[in-house]
Amino acid sequence: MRQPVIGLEIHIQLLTKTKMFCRCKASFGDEPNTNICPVCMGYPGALPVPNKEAIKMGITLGLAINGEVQCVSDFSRKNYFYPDMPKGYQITQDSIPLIKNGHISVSDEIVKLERIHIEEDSAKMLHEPGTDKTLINFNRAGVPLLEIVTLPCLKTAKTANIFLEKLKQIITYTGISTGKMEEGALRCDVNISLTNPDGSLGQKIEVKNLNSFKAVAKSIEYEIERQNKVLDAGGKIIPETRSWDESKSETFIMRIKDGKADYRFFPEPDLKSLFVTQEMIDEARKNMSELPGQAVERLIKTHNLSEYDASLITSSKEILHYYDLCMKDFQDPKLLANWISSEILKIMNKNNCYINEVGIKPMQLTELLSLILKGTISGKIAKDVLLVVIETGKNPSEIVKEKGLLQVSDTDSLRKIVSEVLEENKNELERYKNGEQKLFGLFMGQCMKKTKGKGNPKMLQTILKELLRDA
Amino acid sequence: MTHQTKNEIHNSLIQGEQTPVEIIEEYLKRIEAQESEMHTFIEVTGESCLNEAKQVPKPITKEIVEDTPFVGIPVGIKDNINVKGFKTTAASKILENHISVYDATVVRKIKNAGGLIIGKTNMDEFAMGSSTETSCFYPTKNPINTKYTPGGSSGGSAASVRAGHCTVSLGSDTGGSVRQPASFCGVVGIRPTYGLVSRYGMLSFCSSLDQIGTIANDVDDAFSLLEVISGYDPKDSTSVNIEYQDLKEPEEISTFGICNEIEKLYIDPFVHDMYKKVIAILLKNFKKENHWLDNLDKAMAAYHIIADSEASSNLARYDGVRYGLQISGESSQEAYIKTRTQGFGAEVKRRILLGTYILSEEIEGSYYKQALCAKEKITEKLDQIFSSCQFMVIPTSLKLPFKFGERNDPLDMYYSDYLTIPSAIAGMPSVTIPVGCNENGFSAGIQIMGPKFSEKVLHSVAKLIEGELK
Ligand SMILES: [Zn+2]
Repeated sequence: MRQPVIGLEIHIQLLTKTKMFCRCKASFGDEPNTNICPVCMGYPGALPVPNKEAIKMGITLGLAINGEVQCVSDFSRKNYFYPDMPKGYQITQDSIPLIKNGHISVSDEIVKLERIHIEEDSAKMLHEPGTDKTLINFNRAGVPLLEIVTLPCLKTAKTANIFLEKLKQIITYTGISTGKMEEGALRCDVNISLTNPDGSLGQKIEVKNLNSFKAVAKSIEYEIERQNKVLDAGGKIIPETRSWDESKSETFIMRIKDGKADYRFFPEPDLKSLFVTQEMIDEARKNMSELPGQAVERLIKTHNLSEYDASLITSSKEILHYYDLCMKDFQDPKLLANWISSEILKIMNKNNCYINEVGIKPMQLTELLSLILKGTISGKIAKDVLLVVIETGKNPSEIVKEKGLLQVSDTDSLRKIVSEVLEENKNELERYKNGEQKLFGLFMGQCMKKTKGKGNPKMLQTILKELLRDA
Repeated sequence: MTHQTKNEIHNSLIQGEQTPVEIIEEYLKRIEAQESEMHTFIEVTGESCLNEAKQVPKPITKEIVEDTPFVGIPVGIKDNINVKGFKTTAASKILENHISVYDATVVRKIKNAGGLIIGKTNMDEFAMGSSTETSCFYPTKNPINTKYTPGGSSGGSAASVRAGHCTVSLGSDTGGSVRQPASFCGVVGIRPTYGLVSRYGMLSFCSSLDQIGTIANDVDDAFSLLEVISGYDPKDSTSVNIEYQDLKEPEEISTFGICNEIEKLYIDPFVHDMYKKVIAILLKNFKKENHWLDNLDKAMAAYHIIADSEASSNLARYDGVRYGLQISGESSQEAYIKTRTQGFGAEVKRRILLGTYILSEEIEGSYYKQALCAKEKITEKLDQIFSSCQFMVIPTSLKLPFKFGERNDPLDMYYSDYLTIPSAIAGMPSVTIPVGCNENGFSAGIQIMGPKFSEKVLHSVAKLIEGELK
């Protein structure tokens, strides 16, 4: 039985203000070729100066994944010609990366990292539609990247997927990147091989152009199957780089690797070695924001949430942040967590949006939930109010007042309604008395209907029970 | 025939004998008369220089000269250093029409010190050569005798100072490119400690060895210009955070060293005589020590391996995509090949090919690593020598200037730097001063080498020798 062996190479774009080796703005969404200078355009005589903020972010990620921050690491040149590479080489780290080792736990597995190093992004090439022209936008050239390399230790597409989710959580929690794959802020290449009968590693295939976590998982599954088929048929796996075709859900050959590409790495002579002091590490540790694991623990320990709820709330930094904002003036974490993990998530999934785009502010949600707690409205009515808040932007109490949705909690009128219901359903009442207990629900439903959903369900229940007993 | 020094010009300006415009006009007149034969410049920036001269405050006072030490002085800039608004070609066809979009740090400093840029001096293409013969435009003639080369690669910078086309000039020295042409043209040339002068805005040939240096008619002018351009630059990560207030402060010196190998090398007899003459002067003042430099041959091999490796990468940016020569092709690959094949000259191509091979995985960078080891050994040896003596004296070049076309074998040409490489590879400073004058009018260049940041010592010694020779 051949075992799949999977390794990942992830590039993340850092949220620094400026580029890695010049002080141009690192926002490539601006008008093309406006954030450029002699350095990032590779003009004659321009020299690189490292961005300290990017190095700090590298250290932060290193600490967050329990890696070893190297006191001295080296910048190197990776030489190759391509129109998106202005200097004819990329400044990266080769022999000694900023971070060695480290790991991320994925369910009950541990994914080990080999290294994290700093490098610069290339320019972006755009093929002008309808022509054979290619345009180059140098706004992206020189934007800081961290490359994260795992050991070839993953065994399934599922592990790879969860690993990426976890990694994205960490980089967004630490605030070093948006981690948005759709914007190219997180890119992932996959290396897949199958073990030989003797247990040694088989020929490795690299898959590129993966634009979602789903694509990563699907390409791994596809490759495992493809490689197994080739080998079963007595074929050989040829060293090649493959690309993912989303529409066909398959990988295809991008280029054959005839011999290894020779990047002629050598130490970057325009830069000194990168020195990291203990103070820099201490500072990064001091400024480290709460990590996903710590947040889960906090929610379980201090807010008494279930592990399930806690991991749902902490699944993204935005949701946790929203939750924490709500908790500022709210006392019932369980109710809040329930609402976020059911109603709010439902809307997020439906609209395919982030929590801050749902359309209800934390203050409004807590106001709504407080109305439930005070018994002013029922949970059912609250769900309707939520939709109105989203639609109109109005505050929940305003909506409740305007639409007359106030819960009826007046014992006399409720008692009157229950009597009416029992009066109108004499047959059922008879059957109930003869032991058909399940008819209780029917009475309750009728009561709610009569109050147009506004009747306080708890009170109705009590009164109904009382009247049934006396009937 | 030497021309006015900075101090002489300033005296004349302060006393009102001449105006800055008259000074520049005189220089431009001389350039006009000689340039068609001499070719010291790639571009003369006469008009802008005259305009700048008109802006010089009047009258010029001692205070103004103190604040802006190069006020009114015409300066030549080697054409591998960016001057905003003018062409920077590095004497290469690939940059023939490239106009600089920014000032190099050294140029900004010279402008701030009142210096007037009079032209971009000719050079070997991308500073690869020792005679200016690899310039894609034309070779520069040696002003002493136009049948001879001015040396290189900063041949235009040395010749322009000697010919009176500028008072001082900037060159760049990777293995000897300031000192060898300065010695050929009978002027003073300094290679400063690596990191003392910002390289920002100078086209990199070999980043780990390149340094901008100064060329002048006398020792004080060369050091004054060095004072202006030196200092930490946050734009150059390899620049050193050290600030000299006054390089010309006298230093206490007791001991100097000479190099035993010199007696075993074939040196031009005139150069040897002048070398002995300088030693005699020094012996009147200091104690002498004998040292073996060791590994002179290895230093040269290591130098070429390091320089060509880095050059192959540093010159990769000249691809025709963003600026410079651009020849189109069916694919980007083809466009690269065509542009670079037509844009680079033979010597540059030779070095790129060698450097690419040296760094290739095929030989696992083993030459490069060995060369770095050799570099370290040579540095250690010099450190050890300089722990017992304060400077060394050594000829700048084994030979006197050669005629055009006389050295056709590249290896022959590479020997031009034989005695300038050790200090370059160790990142140490060295100054060459002209000594004597033979029947052809040529002087011998004698180098004074010191440990890192010993510029003050070098100045004191150079000044002493210069004084004794007068
Ligand atoms: Zn830039």
